[in-house]
Amino acid sequence: MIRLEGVEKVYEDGFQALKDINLEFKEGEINVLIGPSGCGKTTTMKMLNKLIDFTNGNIFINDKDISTIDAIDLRRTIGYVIQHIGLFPHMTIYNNVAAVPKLLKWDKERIDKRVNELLNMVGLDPETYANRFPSELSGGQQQRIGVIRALAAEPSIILMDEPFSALDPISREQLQDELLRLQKEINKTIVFVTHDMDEALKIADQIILMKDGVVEQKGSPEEILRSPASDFVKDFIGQDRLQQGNAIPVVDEVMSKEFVSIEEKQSVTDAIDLMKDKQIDSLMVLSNSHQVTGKLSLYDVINQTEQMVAEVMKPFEQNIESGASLSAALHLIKKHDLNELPVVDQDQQFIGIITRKSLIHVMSKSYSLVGNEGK
Amino acid sequence: MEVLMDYIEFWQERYPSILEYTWQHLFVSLVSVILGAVLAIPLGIYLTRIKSKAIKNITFNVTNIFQTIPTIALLALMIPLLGIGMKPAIVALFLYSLLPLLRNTFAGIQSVDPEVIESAKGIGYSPIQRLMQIEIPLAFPYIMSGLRITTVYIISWATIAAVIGAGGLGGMVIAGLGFNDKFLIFTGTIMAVIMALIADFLMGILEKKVAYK
Repeated sequence: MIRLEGVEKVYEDGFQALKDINLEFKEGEINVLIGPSGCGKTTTMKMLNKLIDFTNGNIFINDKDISTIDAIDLRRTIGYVIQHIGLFPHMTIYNNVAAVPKLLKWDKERIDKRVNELLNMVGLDPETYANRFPSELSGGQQQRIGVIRALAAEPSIILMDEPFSALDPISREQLQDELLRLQKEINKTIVFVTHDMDEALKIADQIILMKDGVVEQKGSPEEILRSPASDFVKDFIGQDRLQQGNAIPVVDEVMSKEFVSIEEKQSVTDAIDLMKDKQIDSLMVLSNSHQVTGKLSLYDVINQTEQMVAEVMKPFEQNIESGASLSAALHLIKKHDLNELPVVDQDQQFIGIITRKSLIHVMSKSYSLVGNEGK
Repeated sequence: MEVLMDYIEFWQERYPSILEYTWQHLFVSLVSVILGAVLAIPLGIYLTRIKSKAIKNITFNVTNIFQTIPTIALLALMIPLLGIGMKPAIVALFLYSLLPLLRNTFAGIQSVDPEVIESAKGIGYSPIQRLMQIEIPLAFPYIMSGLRITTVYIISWATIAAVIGAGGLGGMVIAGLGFNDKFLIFTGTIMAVIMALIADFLMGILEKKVAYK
């Protein structure tokens, strides 16, 4: 576990880069530091392995004050992955991965075993790759090596400074997935710096959003999406993602409460007039107690003018409870081939209806947002 | 044809002295370059470690000045200080070798990707380990090519050093001028050229061998 207590950084020219930072990075979690450039996220991370020193406050790693630990010893116990990979171009992949174990003077057998294990872990065959040079690998492969080099000496903490941002989108996705998969096996305390909110939302257990050297908000991705603490946080997350955070809406958000209705006891003729008048082809049917009980469509009323609405209407056989997810509703609609699905509350009282129209409305809203993402 | 026969005869008669001149030449050149390397390479590395711009500028300017003094003038300047012979020649050539070696070493270390340094630092290389295991190996192609160029130049300039009595192949050329002996002039020249070419070739091989992919 890493703990920052009242950490501040003031540069010689008086610029205060960090103000009273209090953070806790829990064991085995991916902690993402995110914010616009100059917010202090990288500075915060680099203080953990003493690449940057701090002016005030304390940093504890496993309850040990890092100011009492020698910088070089400390760095050898913390994995470090940087943005531009930083592999040593004059060393083979083997030697790159073995760098820290060699510094720690492991014996050759142990290093061999560890390097093979790590290469296999990221799906690079040791026989093929161990003796290649970094320049002979693709960007994605190089960064895999960057990641396993950081893991080589089995540190419990790994710092990652925008590790995937220089990669193409496909490799980036792959490496994010791989990191998540690896993390299940290795269970490290990871401090990950990024400026990519999608990346943060995807991989983080804890997101720390920073701005101008202060922590603006911290919490799980869900917490941050659900309740952004300030307008800045909202802006930084972006409207699209805030909506995607509620991406699968509950039925209540989709259902429509406005519809044209007719009472059971009225005549079909009234119904036809009403449809003509409103230029629609179906009506909701209300019971005496003003509950929607079924639907009356134009097809039902053809040649049935003598009868009462109650006799020709199609009662609803399915309904869904308020608070259920839209996917549950869609499942029902598909299974029973429904045109409408009434939404009821806990007491089975009718509160609204999901129609194809309301579904299309929701879809068009979220898809038009997706379509605008590129702007 | 007759010329060729005469020339072969010339070699048969003179080859011990030709070899001696060649050896002197090689000695003067190599000692100058080695001394130059011993000073300039560590100095070049040191200059990358310090922040002071003033020290860097002074060092580069001083070595630059040595470079701009005409060869013959620098050699002449050595006479009042060190007299004549091999010693002043070696000192003069050594001064010439400084700038290219210094420049290349400095540029080589500077050329190491800062990201590589950052990651070496971040995973726990000590400053000296970083220098020995990361920076110098990466700068080696630059340093090597500086050494190669310098060696070729110095072999060529060492010919002029004969005017202050350093001997070497330049001595043959000067003697040839005195006696109006075309063979002496030609042999001195061709041997210097061959020596430079061989040095260039050998160091080229070495350069390729040590360069990483």
